[in-house]
Amino acid sequence: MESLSAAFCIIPLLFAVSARVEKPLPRRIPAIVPGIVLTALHDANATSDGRRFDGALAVAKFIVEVMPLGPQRNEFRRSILIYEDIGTVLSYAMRDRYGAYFNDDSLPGMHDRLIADYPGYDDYITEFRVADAKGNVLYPTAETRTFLVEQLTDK
Amino acid sequence: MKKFAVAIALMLSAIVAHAADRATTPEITPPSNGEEFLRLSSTEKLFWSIGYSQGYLDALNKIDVAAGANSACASLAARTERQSSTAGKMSGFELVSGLEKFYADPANTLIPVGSAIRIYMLQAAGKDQTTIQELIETARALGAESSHRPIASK
Repeated sequence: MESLSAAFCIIPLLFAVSARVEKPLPRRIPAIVPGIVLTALHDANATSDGRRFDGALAVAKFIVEVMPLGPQRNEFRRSILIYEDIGTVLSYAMRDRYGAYFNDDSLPGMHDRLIADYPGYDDYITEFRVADAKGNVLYPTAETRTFLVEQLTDK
Repeated sequence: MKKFAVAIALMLSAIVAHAADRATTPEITPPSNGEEFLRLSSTEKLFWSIGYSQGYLDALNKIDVAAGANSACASLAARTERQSSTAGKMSGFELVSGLEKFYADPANTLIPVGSAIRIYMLQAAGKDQTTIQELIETARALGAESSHRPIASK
């Protein structure tokens, strides 16, 4: 009986300890922290610094998990989703030999997904698309990133 | 009177055709360094890259006419310039991508476009990193000198 009551006391304590180890940040994050991370993401994208961008994105994803529910968290999560798309395009642009342009072969499904997720992208990118000698239509990564950055301020 | 009307109609259609042609052809100011190159749109960068490669090859093919068949200029062109030409070795898409990567480093933005292309071609050909870095440092110094600005540090 004594051991049973001891188990009732210890088990919740163990859960509490493991929760603390997994999330070392406090539940209440200073309001300025998400802003700092977003600035880091913005600057890393502006200078096409893929390593800094990936690092800042990882921090942003960690922070959003420990933010309290509410409009600030929703807004921050929306920004992260846009930055994930920017990251995909940036990574390709910096890594690939033909990274200035992409199509369905080089970034499978990306163009269709951008059209589905961002109203206005199709009209915007049509002006900048080009076709190579074989007739393959290609979309510029630079203008795509510019468009996605503009989505961060548009609501 | 009939001939006069036809002449006016022809003139008007010529003006319209010329205006349409101007609207579809981008007017590109040739970039001298990375700052100017990065200001161009992707389409302008592509058009410029293709034109640069084509123009460079045309100039090399006519060097014997311009400078004389056995001149020092012609032998220099055959010996070194042809090797560093992008024509036939690199597509416009690849050249634009390469220059965008090269100029992504803020310290490289003042490097003249011609030097950037040569350095990128050597990089793509697998030249050793020490030589590439020396060339980049020299090109940065030259770029800063030509724009009368101090060398940007990383």
